Amino acid sequence: MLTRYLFVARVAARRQWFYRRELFWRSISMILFMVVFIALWKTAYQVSGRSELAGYSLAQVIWYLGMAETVMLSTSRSFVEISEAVKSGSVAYELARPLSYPLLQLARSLGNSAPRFLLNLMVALLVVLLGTGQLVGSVPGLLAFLLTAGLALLLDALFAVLIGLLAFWIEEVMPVYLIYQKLLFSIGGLFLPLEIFPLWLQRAAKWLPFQLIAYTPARAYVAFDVGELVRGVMGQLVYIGVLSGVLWLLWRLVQRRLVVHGG
Amino acid sequence: MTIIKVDNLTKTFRTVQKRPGVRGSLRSLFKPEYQAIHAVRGLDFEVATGERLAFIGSNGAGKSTTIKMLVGILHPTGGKAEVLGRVPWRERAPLAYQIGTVFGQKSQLWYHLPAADSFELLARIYALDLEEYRARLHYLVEIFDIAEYLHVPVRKLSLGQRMRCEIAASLLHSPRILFLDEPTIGLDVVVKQRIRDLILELNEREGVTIFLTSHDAGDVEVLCKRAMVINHGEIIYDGKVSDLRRNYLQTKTVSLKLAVPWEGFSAQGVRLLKQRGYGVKLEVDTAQTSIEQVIAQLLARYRIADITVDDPPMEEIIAQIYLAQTPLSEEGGAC
Amino acid sequence: MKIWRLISGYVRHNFMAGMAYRGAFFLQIFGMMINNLMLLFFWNMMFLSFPTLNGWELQDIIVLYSIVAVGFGFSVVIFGNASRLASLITSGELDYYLALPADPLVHLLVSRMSLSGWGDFFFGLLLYLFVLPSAWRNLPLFLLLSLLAGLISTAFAVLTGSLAFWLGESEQLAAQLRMALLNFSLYPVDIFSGGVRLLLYTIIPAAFVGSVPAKLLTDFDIWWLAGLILVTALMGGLASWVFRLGLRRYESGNLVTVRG
Repeated sequence: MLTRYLFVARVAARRQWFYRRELFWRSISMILFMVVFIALWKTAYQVSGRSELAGYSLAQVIWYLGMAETVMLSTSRSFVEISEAVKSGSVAYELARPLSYPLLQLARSLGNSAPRFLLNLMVALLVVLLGTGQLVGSVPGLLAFLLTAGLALLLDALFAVLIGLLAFWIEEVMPVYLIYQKLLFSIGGLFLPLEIFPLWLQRAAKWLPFQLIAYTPARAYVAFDVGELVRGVMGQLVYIGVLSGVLWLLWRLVQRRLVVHGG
Repeated sequence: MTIIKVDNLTKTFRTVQKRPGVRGSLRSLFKPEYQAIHAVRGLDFEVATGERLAFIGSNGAGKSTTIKMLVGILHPTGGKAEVLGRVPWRERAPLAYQIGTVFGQKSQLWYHLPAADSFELLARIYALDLEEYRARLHYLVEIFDIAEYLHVPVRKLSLGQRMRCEIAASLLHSPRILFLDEPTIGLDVVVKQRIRDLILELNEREGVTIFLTSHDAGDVEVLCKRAMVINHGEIIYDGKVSDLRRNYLQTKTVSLKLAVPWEGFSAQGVRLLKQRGYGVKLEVDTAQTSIEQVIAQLLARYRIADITVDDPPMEEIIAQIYLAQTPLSEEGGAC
Repeated sequence: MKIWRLISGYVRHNFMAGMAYRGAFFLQIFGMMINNLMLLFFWNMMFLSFPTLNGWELQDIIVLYSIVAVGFGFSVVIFGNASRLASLITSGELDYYLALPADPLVHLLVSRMSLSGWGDFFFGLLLYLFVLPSAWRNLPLFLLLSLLAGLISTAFAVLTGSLAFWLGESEQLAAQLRMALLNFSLYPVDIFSGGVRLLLYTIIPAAFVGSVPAKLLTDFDIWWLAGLILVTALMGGLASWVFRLGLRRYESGNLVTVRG
């Protein structure tokens, strides 16, 4: 059973490679974001004359942001395809297939993400290394990053499928995705390490799932700590479980709706 | 008076040949190898004002390319053309005020808005005078009998109602030539007839020249007096539709669904094309017998669940013309 | 003039078409406003740690944001099809505009409206009016600067989209360049070093969309304004010229796929 989904993921990954020209342009946005961030933080540290902020040196902040962007730019945005299938009604046909549609979409998302992730990682390493002239991180850090980034991409794929299925109830899901994305940007720690926030906000953010996607892997890379890693992975697994449950419920609702109303 | 004049019009597309592999794509980048596609090879024809002309050809025969050159969207590779006394690709915009286009598959009406709103927008695109536009709209609404749909969003109209609005929209600016591309595609028989009647009426009332492309032999027969057949970028037939009909449109196919088993049927001018279970397809040569007669004979003999009569598909007619025009000697050694 | 009638007609019709699905329309506006608000949150955090960045303070950033939001929103609301130019060219959909007598560039630009652009527009306007002191007095200048910013970003979209005349399928390239312009325009140009800064005044003219108008609003200088107007006019002229140049190539049909 699982092999079929693995196959779906592999096909999606190969398809990405087939469109490598597009993949190449995407990696330009990584360079773009990093050029902006490097300039911004260099100026910030320079002007204020500080050497560290909330425990981060200039190089550490930039490496943190590079790693966070690597995860973010590798997400697969499957909600676009799903919401279109819902609107056109073609999602009804998915019921006739022997595969579960949500699982199929999750497999495809991860397949799409894998080649992008590798490319983004290479580009990020290169740009950040050139920008800071300094190698930050460690081997255990890198391994922890790979583990948590994989879980983070799964978590994001779950969010994307859920947002796509919302198209059954609301006419346009793009705004919902944009808000989700900005939650990742802000309290998810994509633009700033969470430690820079005021304490009350940090505490609130730590309970929410958004920081598990960008902050957890990036933090694991620049400041590897076993205790923190275990807590991060636990958090990711808990939220993956919770969202899977929500998705299961939502899909049952959808199925009933499709069977009763015919799409 | 001549309204369209085409003289040795030619269009050749160049496409880059892709080579396989990484080295191949690199070589293609620096030293591209071109392949020429001769879409249109030396067309010559004239169309008189008020004429109703069918321009027929299979997909890829060069129909669209020719029309695109006639409305000024494409530059030809060689040759001349004059539409309403203007060279289309040099005077595209002034020409556009005087021609109309209807594409059966592509709507110019806003999907979510009532047709009235789209009409108003088209009036602005064609920079129509407000007074004139209102009078014209009133006139068209009456002819096309669309008053009751005018304020209903287009998405709620049936295809036939939409098509009537679509054609009315293309006539708002009183064009002198109307290019119709598959105007009845997807419509049922009754609505098809209605659309054809409307087009004929406009041609008679306003003297609009009709330039039609269609895969529907019925469209061609009813709407046009003259037909031009294009194949591989060349005109292979230019003559009266009545001749075309006599020579190539004389057969019809009758498809039957029987309620009893098939036991054979023979009559003058009737040929069995296909029979499978209770489904039967017959070809009827209307020069030798009439459809009415054949159907009457069939009904006398069988209990019939369903029956349809069709014109032969356009592709078949084209193939026949093509074969008839190719001398046998060439046929063997051409390729 | 007839071109104004065409533009106003399209704006009205696009708006009505959007209103046909009110729910989705308002959701998009609302979503975009929240989206923008959360980006400002980032700056708020940034300035908690660093009160000034090469002379830029939070208030200057708010001015920058409101101008870019109003300008960009205006651009994608009125000229919403600019972002689709490259794909219109490669798919041959340009034919439709060429078969009609109105100016093809203007016509194609105005024939689509980005609904979420209204969200940017109102976000910028509200941000400006309610957060900044003496906003009402400077409102005409603010609107003028936003208009210029919007026109420059439209011209840039036309230029990048027109690349498809020469390069064939290049939607991704055009999209990345447009995103680069928007992204860079949201940061003060003074934080960048020499090379990048030069880039932002030339090839990706983000400085003229964001920092230059923002400076002008807080620190008015008639010569800088004249310069900005000149740049806008130049960009507009260049875009229109390049499009027409490309059109000749399009008309000669090298890139047109053969259909029928």
